[in-house]
Amino acid sequence: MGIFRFSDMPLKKKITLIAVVSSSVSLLMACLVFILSESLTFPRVMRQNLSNLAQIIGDNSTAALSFNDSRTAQGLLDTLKANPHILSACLYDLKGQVFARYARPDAPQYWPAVVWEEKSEFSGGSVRIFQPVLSGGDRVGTLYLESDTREMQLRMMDYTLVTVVVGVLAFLISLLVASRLQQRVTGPLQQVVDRMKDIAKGEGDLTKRLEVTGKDEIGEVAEAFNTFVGKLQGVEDMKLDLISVVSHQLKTPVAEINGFIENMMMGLTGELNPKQKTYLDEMRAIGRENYRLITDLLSASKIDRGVVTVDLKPVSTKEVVGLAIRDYEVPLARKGLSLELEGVWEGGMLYADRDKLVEALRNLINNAIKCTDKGSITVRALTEGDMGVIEVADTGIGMDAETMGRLFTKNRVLGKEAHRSGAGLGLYITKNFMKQQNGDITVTSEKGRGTCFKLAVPRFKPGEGGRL
Amino acid sequence: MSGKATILIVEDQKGFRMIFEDVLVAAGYEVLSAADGERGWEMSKERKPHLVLLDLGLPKIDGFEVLRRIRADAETQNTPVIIFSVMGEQNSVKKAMDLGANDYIVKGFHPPLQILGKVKEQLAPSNP
Repeated sequence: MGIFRFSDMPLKKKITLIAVVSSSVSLLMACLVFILSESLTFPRVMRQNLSNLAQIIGDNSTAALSFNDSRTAQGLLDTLKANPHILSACLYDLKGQVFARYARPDAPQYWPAVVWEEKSEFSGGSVRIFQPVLSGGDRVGTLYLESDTREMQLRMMDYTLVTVVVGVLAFLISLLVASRLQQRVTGPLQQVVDRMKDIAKGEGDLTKRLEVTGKDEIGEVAEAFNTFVGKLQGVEDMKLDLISVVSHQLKTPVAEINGFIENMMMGLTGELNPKQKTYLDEMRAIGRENYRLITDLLSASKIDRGVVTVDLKPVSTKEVVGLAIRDYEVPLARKGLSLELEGVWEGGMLYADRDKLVEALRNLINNAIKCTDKGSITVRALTEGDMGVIEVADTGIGMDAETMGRLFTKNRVLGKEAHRSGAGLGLYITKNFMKQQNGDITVTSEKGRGTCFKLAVPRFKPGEGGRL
Repeated sequence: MSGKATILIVEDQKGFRMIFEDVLVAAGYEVLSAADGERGWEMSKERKPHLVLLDLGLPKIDGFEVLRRIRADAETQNTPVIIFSVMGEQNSVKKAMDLGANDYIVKGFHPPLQILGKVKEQLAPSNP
């Protein structure tokens, strides 16, 4: 697999990692300093403790030394076996002779020669002291004590163990805290990222703004982003206004030209020769397509500006289909196609915007005629659960999956497929109109076999809203 | 055609006026025309046409207001009114129909024969 790279890590992992590493390092440092200082002060403490013990034993042995009672002295030293760390002990008289002695059974049976001055030393894992025994200010002898340093070692081991346990616990807690707290940093950031991706994909709602939660850098990013989106929205609005204005300006002259052409074809300007008829036929077709395209542009800009409204009322499938197929006799006959109606006359009531549903169906029939050269176009009404469905199936050229995927978007107008004028926006508009009516439009198709579009809107149920 | 029915066209676009005028004249109607709402309302009242073809977007007073006045005046309230609309403006069609328009024509979409059909339909009951 690839090499691990810190820069590729998600921010939330980075933050967690940084928090855990830094808290662990500082805790470790504290523990090390503590252990170090303990290991420095511990010998002094041990020496002091040993010295205190020597003081007690010394004080208790003054009488035995004064009266030369070595049995009592020996008894006294023997009590040292209660302290497992004492390796050996020795009481010397004023001449330096051994008066009484003790050694832990497992320790070497060795006692050094007397040392007159007070002295303590560490060596070979043990600590030794020589301490004068005083009675009323006069010296009566010398005490020697040797202790192992096991206590210190055990203490150090305890400290190390505690350090490890605390370290692990602190690591886990800091991991927990960091992974909770990083949310507060990465959460808003993720929101910014998601919204940016949304807009980049072209589905972003430019009217939405990010919630600015604080005055930190993320807050600043969110604010700057909001400003940016605001400007973008301004540009978008300008674009839509421009489309709207230009389309309005174009619509009237195109409609007028169409009207003049119609009048000429009607013979209002006198008899036409066959060539003139052909020309006018072409002009009328072009004029109609242009009129349709301009109308579509206006509808699309209305959708994009969010000013489309629907008027939902009960309407029968029969009425909708009847209105939609009204004007298609001639185009169907011209291409030699037959129109089949299935289930339309027993079809039930729908709850929809009649005009928009008719318009959607007309769009589909129009497309079907364009894309079919032989065979038939079937308009079928059926019900699917709560939805009333009107299908438009043709036996035309069909399409591949890639085309189907982009069918209901605006992008087709700008792409290579914009070859047929007016073919681009109709389905985008239909999709939006259907959504507004709580319905949908879907498509199934097979290249070379034909296409089936399906319009679905809620069925009308008397008694549940609606005006009956 | 028994007698000449008079039709008033209220339309600010010269081209459309010409188109509809030509069609209606060719069909044997007498045609009056007005280029703004105010004039349209005056002519409806003075000339009492048998039918008014009314555009909605008009200078001075708009088509909705002209329609409201025609329907509010005792002398004109029964005059059939067919409004002109442009494609994709279903909402204004609805509004005008609610105000009492009798039918609508989509400019640049409905061919002359269909327009004549609608006109004849409106004139039929009162002009046998």
